[in-house]
Amino acid sequence: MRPSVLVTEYLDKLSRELRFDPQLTRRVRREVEDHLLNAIGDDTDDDSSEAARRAIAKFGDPREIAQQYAPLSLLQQARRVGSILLVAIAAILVLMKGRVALYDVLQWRLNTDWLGWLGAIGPPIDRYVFQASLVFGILGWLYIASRRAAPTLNSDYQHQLKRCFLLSAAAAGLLIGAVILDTILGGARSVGAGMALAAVIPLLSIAIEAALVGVIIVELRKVMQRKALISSLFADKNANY
Amino acid sequence: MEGEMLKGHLDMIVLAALADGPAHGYAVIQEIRRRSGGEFDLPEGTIYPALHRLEQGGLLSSRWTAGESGRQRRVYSLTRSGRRGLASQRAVWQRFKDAIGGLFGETSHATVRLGH
Repeated sequence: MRPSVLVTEYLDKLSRELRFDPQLTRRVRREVEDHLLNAIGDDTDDDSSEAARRAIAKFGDPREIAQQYAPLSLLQQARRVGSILLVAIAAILVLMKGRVALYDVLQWRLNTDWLGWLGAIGPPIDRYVFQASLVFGILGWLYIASRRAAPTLNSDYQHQLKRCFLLSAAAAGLLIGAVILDTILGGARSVGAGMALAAVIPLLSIAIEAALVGVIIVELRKVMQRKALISSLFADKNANY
Repeated sequence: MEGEMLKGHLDMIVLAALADGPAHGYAVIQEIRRRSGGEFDLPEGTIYPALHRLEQGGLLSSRWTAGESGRQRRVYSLTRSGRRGLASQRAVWQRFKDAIGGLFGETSHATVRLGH
């Protein structure tokens, strides 16, 4: 078999094992290809296929290499989610404040008759839920930022990652709750105002909030997918990941 | 050399191999093998996750460059924080080496202190 075919086959195997992180896969593939071609070029054996086999054997088992990338990949994903959450929380805070200011200017009051008990307790609950989300978001980000990637997925590191994801999930859950309440309360104000043209602005800001929540849900889903793929990578060892 | 023992010190070994200047992954492995007199013979693929981890930890930086063959290669270099990290690990290692030397009865600061 030609050396280039052997190298490509090996790179394909490695890419399959690394499928939990597509961005990492692209980079690793380029680096490993360069490495193997260097090793084959430096081998003094005239049989280049044998040189390729030797270079591949020296490089190691693709699954074992992929397992070594898992701790870093999970931490990077946690950092990404933590950062996106903080940006989303900050953006939603600005949108909420802007909407409240607009309601004051337009003198749009919340119709408590129409909303019943929710009209009375909705706004404070919305505020507290959002504040709790902000606290969890900041705590989560600080915790994640202070972590360092471990060489292996040992139990201590797995606990740290679990805490990262729990803090992010708590912040995301509370934020989603705040946006849902916001949508109900904002919608009620707009309906109460008789669906004036000015209602487009608050409705648009609520739509942006919903879109931000959608981004967070997509990112959390990616975390779950990555964890599941990494778990299958360690399946033979009965690890938790 | 025992594989597990090597893995426990892999970060320090990689940082030390890059102390003389930037290098790509393959050159880092060659340098480790050369400086250790062939004693450190890890599976070569182990070095790359370590390089990525050290980069993510801010101890290394990297960039793509065009090699002599025209192929793109990722070149790693120590950051300021990486140099500080290597210096501190070197100091810790020296103390550990002296202490172990003392236990094995070799002449060192540790043996002198034990003798007193």
